[in-house]
Amino acid sequence: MNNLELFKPQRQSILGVAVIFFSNLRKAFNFFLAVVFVNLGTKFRILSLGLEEWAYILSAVFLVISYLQFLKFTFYIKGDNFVIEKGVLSQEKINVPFSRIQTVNTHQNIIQRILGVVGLKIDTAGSIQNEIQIPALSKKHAQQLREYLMERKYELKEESQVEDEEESSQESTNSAFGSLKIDAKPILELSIKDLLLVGLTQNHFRSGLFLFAIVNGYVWQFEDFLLKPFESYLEETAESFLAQWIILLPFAVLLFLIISVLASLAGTALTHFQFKFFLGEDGMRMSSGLISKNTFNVPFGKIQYFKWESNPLRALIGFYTLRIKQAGTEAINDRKLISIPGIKAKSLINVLERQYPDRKKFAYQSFQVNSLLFIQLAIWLGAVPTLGALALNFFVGEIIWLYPLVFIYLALVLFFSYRYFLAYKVKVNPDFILIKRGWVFPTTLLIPNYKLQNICLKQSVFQKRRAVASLQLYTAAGGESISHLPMHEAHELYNYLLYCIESSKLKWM
Amino acid sequence: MIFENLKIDIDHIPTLEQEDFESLREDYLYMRISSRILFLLFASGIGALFSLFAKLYFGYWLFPILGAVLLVIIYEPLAFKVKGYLLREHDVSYKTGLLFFRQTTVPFNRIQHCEYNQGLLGRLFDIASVKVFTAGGNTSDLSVRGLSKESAIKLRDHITKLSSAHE
Repeated sequence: MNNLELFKPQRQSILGVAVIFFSNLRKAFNFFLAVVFVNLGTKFRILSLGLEEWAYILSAVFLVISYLQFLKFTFYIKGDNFVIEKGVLSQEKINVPFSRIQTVNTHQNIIQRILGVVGLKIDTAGSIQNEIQIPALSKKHAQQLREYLMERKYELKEESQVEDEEESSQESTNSAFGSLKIDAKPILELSIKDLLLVGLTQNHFRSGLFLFAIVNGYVWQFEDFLLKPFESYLEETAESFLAQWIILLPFAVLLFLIISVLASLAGTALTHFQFKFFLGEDGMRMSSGLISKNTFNVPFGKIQYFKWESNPLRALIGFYTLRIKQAGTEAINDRKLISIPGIKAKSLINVLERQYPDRKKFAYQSFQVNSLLFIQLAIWLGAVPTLGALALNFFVGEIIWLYPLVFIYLALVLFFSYRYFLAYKVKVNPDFILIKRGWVFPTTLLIPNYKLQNICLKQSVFQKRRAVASLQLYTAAGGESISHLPMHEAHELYNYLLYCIESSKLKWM
Repeated sequence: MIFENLKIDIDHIPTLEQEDFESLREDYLYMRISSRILFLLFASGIGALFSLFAKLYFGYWLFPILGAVLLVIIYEPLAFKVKGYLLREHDVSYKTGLLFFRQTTVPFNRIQHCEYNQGLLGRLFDIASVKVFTAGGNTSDLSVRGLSKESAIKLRDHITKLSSAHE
């Protein structure tokens, strides 16, 4: 490891200039997009220079800035810290104690891929807000640095844990902990066909809404320039539009559906292209991505809990989505939340077996949630919107066909709420909590008891009248709730889980 | 018994009883009432400005604000009775909420750090709070409110000592 010369400040690969340059350019592009839009079509001149000249000048300026940023970006190891120094005008020094490092991941966006360099990202438990990453390293260098950091991290841990152990035995444990032992053969690989299936069985409604939100945001940002030219035309046609909305509505819905499906397909292809999932003795690794390639390494100890879910389409082809929850703050949670799409039941059990081999060692106790869950769902999803619609109908004008529609809606809500209530299952044994919920979108959670951090018992006035209470369970990777347990069971579970946490000597993070 | 199959006897698990909770200092109740009334005074000041300059009928703001004052005076003492904290050998708990009751417990071996806080009004009433942080963002925090400055500092030192013993 000494050939790395990690103790002297050093720069990244010279190709880093290009990586920094393009990332600056992308930020600048977003910023100047508005300026370009406003002047679209008109003759753009500032200081007797046109758009093109300005583009060249700005690019040159950015190149110089990027080069300076590259020169000022150094990293080295000092004592038990990994240090990054950066910043041209204001110097910034980031200190990462080895003990704080959770995992070290590599990623490649399209520029980094073309240049053949990788970015290195250091994940901490979320206590350090700044993003810690080195934009460009050669593949070999990144690999070495990663291994070195992880090795030092475990070395420290070992030292503090077993101080009286002999040097020789320490060294052997170090090398065992040094890098994750991971099988060479992936247990899961998504082929193009699998990718297509995963894409087709996404929650299209969600991806459609997501796309709509993005487009909407952009439209409003540039509303004046995009919509102004058409305003007179829009006003003219608006009236005839309104008259024909009943005819147009099905087409709009169809269009929304098609766009949603395309959006989910594109999203799936972008994020999960060439998805490979490796499982090993003490961790897992996954890599995927079309434009930017991401590799995640997850040591088993860092996993807080598992969550797997399905939907009606996915259930047909036997696919689940497995979410691996790691410690992190809320803001960076979705990046830390690693998901495996299109996993079959057999592989899923394989993963669980590897991570939690004795999850069935003790019998589970079942808890039945109170029927208040059904009543509340029916009221909030059924009765409240129905009354609103009826009131609106009463005041605005009578639409006769609304009544059967409302009736059908109410019946559906009652049916689905009842199924949801029946599907809600909570099971606890001395080591694990198993929560199953959802009928249309069945979700299962498996949380080891000792990973819990704090417990909250909630009771509203409505719950109090029926002697029911909800539990909120918090882990380092977020909270999960158990709704409407009978009061004495909720209290008993509360006390029992607290006992589990307080009596556990295992390291939970 | 629910846990009859589990490896330990449920009777031996310590239970958290509502009666064990320590109630907060009464000054905390007065502080809460005064902070709300101060806010309502501020709101009525704005209302008065409106009736002066915009010729708004004063009843539009005065009566709702008087109603709110009445509500505060009735609600706060009732809500105060629910609030309480409990320090045990291995954890710290806090309960609050008259309409929406919440009781949270954080074991010492999961605490990352803890903080002592005293606001402006708190200095007048000698009221301070202790905030307890766990890993993974701010959703899982616990604050023990309504302590005297002296006991808040004591509590913070106690929690810090016990939680660092686990690291």
